[in-house]
Amino acid sequence: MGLFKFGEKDRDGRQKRIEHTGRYLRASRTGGVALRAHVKAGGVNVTGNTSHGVRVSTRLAKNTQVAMQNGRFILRGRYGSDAAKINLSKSGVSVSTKTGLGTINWVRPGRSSVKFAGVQLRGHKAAAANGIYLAFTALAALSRVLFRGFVLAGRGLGAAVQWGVGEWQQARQARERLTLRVEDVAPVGQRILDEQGVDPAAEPRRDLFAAVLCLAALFGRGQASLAIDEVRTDAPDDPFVPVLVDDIRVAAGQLREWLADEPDENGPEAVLGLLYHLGRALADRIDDELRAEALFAVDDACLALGERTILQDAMLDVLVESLGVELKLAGER
Amino acid sequence: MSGRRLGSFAAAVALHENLLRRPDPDATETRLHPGRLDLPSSWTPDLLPLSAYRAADPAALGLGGFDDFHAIPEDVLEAAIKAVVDVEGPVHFDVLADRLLEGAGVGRLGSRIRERIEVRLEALSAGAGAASSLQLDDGLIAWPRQLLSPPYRDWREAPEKTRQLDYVSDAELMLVLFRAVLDDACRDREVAMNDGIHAIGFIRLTDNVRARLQAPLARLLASGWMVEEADGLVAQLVT
Repeated sequence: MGLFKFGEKDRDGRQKRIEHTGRYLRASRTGGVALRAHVKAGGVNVTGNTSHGVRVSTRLAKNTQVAMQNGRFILRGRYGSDAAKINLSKSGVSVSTKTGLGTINWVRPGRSSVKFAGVQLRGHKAAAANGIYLAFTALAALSRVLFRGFVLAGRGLGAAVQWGVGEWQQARQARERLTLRVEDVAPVGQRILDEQGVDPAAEPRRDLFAAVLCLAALFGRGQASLAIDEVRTDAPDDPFVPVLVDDIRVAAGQLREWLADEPDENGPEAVLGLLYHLGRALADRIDDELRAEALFAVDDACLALGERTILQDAMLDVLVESLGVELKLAGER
Repeated sequence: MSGRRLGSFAAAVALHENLLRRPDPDATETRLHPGRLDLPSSWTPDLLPLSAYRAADPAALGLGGFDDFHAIPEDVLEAAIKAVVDVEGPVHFDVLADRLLEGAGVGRLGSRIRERIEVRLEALSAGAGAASSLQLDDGLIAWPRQLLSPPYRDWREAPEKTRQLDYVSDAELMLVLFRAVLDDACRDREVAMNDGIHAIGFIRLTDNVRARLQAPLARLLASGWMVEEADGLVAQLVT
């Protein structure tokens, strides 16, 4: 134990009251020096103090004490939480609240207390100090509330702007999108395959993927062929790059032949229809994980050659359906 | 503003490779790539995963029940030879003879039996169509497809008597070296040889084995399936 409890903290982390308390001796700033002794016999506490005489006390109930001291009857009780303690005495009941400085008594301000740097003050000075402290605390709390309010309002405004921009972009995309459904394009694709006598289900998977890639990444942007350098930039030494480029080249030639006789008025239905059936044939022979990978690989390849065209957007919509990939937005359940 | 592209072909190349490395037994049409399933015109590497060596079942060759080997009719013997080559080709003459003798219940390969098998092999290799004739190549017998696109098989699974590097064809050894360089990026010749034969179940790279592997490696380099750069061997997929 340090001298006069310098440096010792109470349960609230503040400097303890500056005083000396030994087994029999107590010395404090206001109480002076006093000797004291305490015995307990048959549930009755007897305390002798050279300054205050003899006190006989006992516990009446939890947190309630009755005592006699120098011929005076004492009744003391303290109940409840720190926020609103009920204090019981002979003169009645009062309510006090613990503050960062001490305790303020709302009914009898003169019974308030503060402790500052280990110096304990009681009475009206303490009530005034507590009042000032509470005023500053309230001001700080109000500032915090206002600040949080501003932050929340800012976030709300940001979210509203983001939502508005999203809605505007969706509306713009909807205006620019091809309004072709799978039901519109699938029959066109099937007719072309029938005329050519092609059964996509019997084609090698590598060629189905190359054909899907060719339709989406090349034909979807009006590009007829793929230069090996356009692919090699992403995978410089990969020996499989020339194989993919060659498979795409051959598939492109075949697909061009199949589409050659299509009348122009059919527009994008023909390529979308072929894409649907070739994608579906591929999906039937690969697992779920590869289907999703195929979709993202095609999308990535489209972007590698430039910004997606309106036709490519429609192609990816068709591909989602033909590959049977279920897309979920981030955060969606 | 940066000109960085958003997309990439990396995922497409990886997925295409994935498809190349998987068996595709349902592929029977080639309208998207005419000639895809035709017999390759030159040696072509198999990219499928390593599979267990399959040995022909002697009991299923239909050679049982004859008094001796010479009593087996020619057409039955030829059918048995074809059946063994179907399963095990490229197969060494000694291994083929083993299966036939075991099927016929004969214990020893005498000179007359050897001669009879050789005569039948000559007959089978002299067919009208090259694709339907057996190929005889330095003691090994195979269908043309088996030499042009040999199987990548694990010889640890072969019968013990069959498990000899001398019974592995050069075409298969080319594949073994190619796969070591392609799959494991073995750039060093010695490492590629060691890892290659190790992958199919032969664990000792002796001087004899090293000498045996020189010819397949030279053929790979000459055909362009492999190139030797400053930092070692690099596999290339010829299209």
